Amino acid sequence: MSYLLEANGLYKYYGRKKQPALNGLSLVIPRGRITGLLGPNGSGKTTFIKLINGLLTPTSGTLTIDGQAPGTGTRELISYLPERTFLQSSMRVSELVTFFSDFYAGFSTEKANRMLSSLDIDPGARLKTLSKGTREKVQLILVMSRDARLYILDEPIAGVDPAARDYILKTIVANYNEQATVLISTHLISDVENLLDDVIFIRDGNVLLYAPAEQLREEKGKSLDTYFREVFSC
Amino acid sequence: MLKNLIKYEWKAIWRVLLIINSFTMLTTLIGLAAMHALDGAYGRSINVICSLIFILYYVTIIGVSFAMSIYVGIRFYKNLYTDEGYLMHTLPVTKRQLVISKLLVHSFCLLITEIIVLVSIAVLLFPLLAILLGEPDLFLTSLLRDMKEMMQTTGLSVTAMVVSGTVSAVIGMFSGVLSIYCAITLGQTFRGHKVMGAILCYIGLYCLMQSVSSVFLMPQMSLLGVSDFNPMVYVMHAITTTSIISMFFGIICYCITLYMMNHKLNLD
Amino acid sequence: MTWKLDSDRPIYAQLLELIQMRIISGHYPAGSRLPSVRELAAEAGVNPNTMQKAFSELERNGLIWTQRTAGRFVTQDKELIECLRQSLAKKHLHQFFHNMRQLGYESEEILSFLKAEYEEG
Repeated sequence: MSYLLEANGLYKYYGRKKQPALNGLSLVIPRGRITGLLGPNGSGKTTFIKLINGLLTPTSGTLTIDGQAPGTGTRELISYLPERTFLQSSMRVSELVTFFSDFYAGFSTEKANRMLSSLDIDPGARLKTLSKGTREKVQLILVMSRDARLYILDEPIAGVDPAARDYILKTIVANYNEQATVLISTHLISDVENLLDDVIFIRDGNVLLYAPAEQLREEKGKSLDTYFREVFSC
Repeated sequence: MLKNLIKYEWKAIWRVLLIINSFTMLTTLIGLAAMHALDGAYGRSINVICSLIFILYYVTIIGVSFAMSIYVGIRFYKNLYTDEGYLMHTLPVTKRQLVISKLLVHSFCLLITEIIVLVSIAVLLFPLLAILLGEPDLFLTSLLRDMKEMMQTTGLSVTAMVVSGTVSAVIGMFSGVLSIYCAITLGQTFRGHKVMGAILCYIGLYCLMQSVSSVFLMPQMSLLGVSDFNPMVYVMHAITTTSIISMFFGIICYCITLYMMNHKLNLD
Repeated sequence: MTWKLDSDRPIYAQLLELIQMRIISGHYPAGSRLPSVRELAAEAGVNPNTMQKAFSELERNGLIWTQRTAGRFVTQDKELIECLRQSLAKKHLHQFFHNMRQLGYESEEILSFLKAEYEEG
């Protein structure tokens, strides 16, 4: 079986800026892994994720998901949680659940409703009336209720309190489908590191290191967080 | 999927459609009430009041069409090119379905707005003009008689004229909406000034469309001096020519919008 | 019982120790059914693959066994559990004596320390 995701020499320049956001990035991501995409702000994490989702057009290079270039064919394969509020904030929670089930064949309404009620989220509430943390949980619940091959979570735990953070991480583990790969982008490494199979360190738009998490821990004798701080300290 | 997209587009926009059109209905009611109140009265002051109501009315009917077009533009921009675009552009639908669903719903909204304006004109403006010009019955009947005569000389039936008028209005509506989409999409290529870019692109597209139309209408305009000139024939020619041009224009705008979405999408 | 994990050491080894401890302490009694890998992973906030790896190791040791349809069970073999318990106890004792000797105490002194500690507490 081919790799789930293959990127080859990806370059992305924004406007007239000399420094590219992605500088010839190449990597392959296999199936069935929880992979951390780790790097400081501005290292190219979000640019890479947006390219995978076809929200940006690469300046050059190729990218395939399950053998297909990002496009209508890859939408059903990828379940994506952006780092911003991507849902219409005037919609009610129950309307959003219907919206997802109307568009995504692999969406489980039952799963979504179960998670929503376990958190006591009122399905009749409009998204804009909810707190930031609750809004992020609603978005995560919708994304994790889909049956996808690749879950892409861009900063899923940034800006939420520790209790919500625990809930979010547990939801991810409990709900992703086992043949699927989860790609988590974050700069809060200590919170996610026990979850990860593999880590990708990314700097200046290129892969600095791509290794199994346990192997790194064993070789370096320190946590990924500590190691990350060493690598990225100036 | 197209059906779903249309459903959610309609859900998002129907309230605005209602609010905007309630302005037309409200002004119409004010006008009717004023006319009733003034019935039988006469004199200079009455004419002043009538003129004021006429101006208010004029501003409203121009305003509602404008407001609806602006809202359509804002909705397209917000839903596809801001944070919401992250959801819309990752749905398992084609870009064509995204554009078509919006085009259908938005054109329908504009069409409804225009129809309500026309109906309102029919119930309000004719009697109002008639009051301003004197004898009510005389004015209306003579106007209708003149129009009928002119139409008969063109050799076209009234139905044919109404149908061609409607068709050209619908074409104009589609192409107008598409030019808004096209301008907004082209505006995305202006880094950092995307809204400004969209407005500039719209002005550019509008000027282009106007110059192309006038070039094609010029030859017919020269007929204006000829002695047996029939204004109805001229109007019919102008309508046909403009419709064909705006249809081509709309198709070009549609193609540009789709091409940009499929090959040059760069969301912030 | 919580899953207290230390990110400096391989997670798999720590999970192994924690599950062994739960079996010895009777939190998971002999012969009982274990929660699924996914449940435990979610509870501990770790990767299911890592939890799976720990389970496989325990299976190799014979401490747990898998019945295809019903799930995973703790062994019925109480002797095996007792054996593991004793070996862990020995390990701790060994470590304790080693540390005390490093502090410079002789065996007699260590024993009197133990006695005093026992009577106090």
